[in-house]
Amino acid sequence: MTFGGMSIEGGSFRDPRGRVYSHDGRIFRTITPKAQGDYRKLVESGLYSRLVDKHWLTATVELAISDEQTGGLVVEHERLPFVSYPYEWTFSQLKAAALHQLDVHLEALNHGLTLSDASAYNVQFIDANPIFIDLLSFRRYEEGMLWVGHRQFCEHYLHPLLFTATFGIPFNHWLRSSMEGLSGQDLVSLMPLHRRLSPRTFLNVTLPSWLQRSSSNNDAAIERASKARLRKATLEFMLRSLRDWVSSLNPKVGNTTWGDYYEVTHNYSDSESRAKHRIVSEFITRWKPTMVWDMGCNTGEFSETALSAGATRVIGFDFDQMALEGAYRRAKERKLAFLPLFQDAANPSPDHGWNGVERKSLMSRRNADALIALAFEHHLAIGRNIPLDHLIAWLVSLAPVGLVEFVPRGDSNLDRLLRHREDVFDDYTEDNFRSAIEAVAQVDRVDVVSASGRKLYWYSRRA
Amino acid sequence: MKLLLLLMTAGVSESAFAYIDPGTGSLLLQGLLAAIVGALAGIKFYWKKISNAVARLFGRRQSSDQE
Repeated sequence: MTFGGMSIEGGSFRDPRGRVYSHDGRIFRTITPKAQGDYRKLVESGLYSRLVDKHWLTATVELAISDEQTGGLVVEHERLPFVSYPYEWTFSQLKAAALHQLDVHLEALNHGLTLSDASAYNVQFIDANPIFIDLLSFRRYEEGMLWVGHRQFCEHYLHPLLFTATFGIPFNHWLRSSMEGLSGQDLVSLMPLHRRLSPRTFLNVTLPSWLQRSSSNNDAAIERASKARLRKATLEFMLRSLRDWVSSLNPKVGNTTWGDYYEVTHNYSDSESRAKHRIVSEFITRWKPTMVWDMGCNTGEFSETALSAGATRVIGFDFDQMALEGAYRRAKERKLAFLPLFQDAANPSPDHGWNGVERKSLMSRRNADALIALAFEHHLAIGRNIPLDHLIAWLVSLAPVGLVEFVPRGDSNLDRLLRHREDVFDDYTEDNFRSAIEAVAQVDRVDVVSASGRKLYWYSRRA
Repeated sequence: MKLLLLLMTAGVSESAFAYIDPGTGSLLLQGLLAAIVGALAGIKFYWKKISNAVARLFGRRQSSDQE
């Protein structure tokens, strides 16, 4: 399991033609002798430099050492600012990743290569931009080859997108439970008959899932199926029509529109909002962080302020899909170094998958230099019954310095959380909030930001 | 059903590099697409001959690009 004393990445085991290792913040990949023909073709066809120039593929450097186990090549990849997973993406992000996967495949075909799989885990985000990360997915194309990754494309991308487009239910919970995505048979079982029979769904989902079931014991059919030949033009046609279809998909949404969302729910008067932005700026100027985590980022308003104040990059987390869509749109339209992601802080992404290490927990991906958590703690302390001291200890564990807002009783947002339930939160006081911070860090500064008595606490962890 | 499966998998070639299971449903679908495209190409190829044959049947002149 080691490569010169390095540890193998838990998610790197499916393709035996190479492995990914991380060491000292650097990412290495071995390429076995068997895979080198494809790798050479990737480089020599000009596809590699074309994709890297467009920022479609992670940049890679070939090292002058070889893998002692296989005698293979060793390359080093550019390191991503943050690794995220499809179950942490919004609809628009999964859609962008799907289109990226198809675009990379079409570009590969132009250069005489194809992709051997279509795993959504092979696409990552740098800010709002998808980037392909798996060098070993590229294979030399030969006329007649089938699209082996078609089913994986459907299960990882198309089916989850259709699921949310059809039912208005976020795909995140499903994808978090199933590493293989959403199967055609499961999706078809959920769909009403008219949906199953609509032409594109029928051809791409209903028919293959029916064929899968009806041919499962038919060895001759399976044997023949694996020998079918697909002309390149037909493969391109499949990729292009899927691209058109995916482009046209949008999540089914009730009456809420993204535009009014933030206007309706925040309760700051303009001067209060300005004060909050000013303090976020001062906090960022004070610590000059490279990576900020914005817990409860909403539409990314304060993430953007942090970036303007000099933060290099912000990862935002929220559990409101609509707010996240707004945040992703903000990042994309304004070209911000900002990646908003879905996360329920009361149930953050765990270590899971094969052997419990294939996909990493949020906690083991911690890389923030500074944290902001504005209008956040009361949702957990009151809304989800998390004891204040547990919550503060968790927040402080995320980054060495932070800015955490305390929302007092009497604030309209907090009162709304208590409206239909017994107030069992005797411990929810500012004194307890402060002592919870002081138990694990020091309070550097406190700013009052609203007439209701909201306060921003600056903490720094004790060395 | 047998005939349908046969139609879908009319071509012959070795499939390469399947370290993931491509799934028979997906393979059969691609076989079907290949068969449809093949059939369309066949129709296109023979279209001229057929249309000329029909034209002859009705006693009209053959189109000028016929050899």
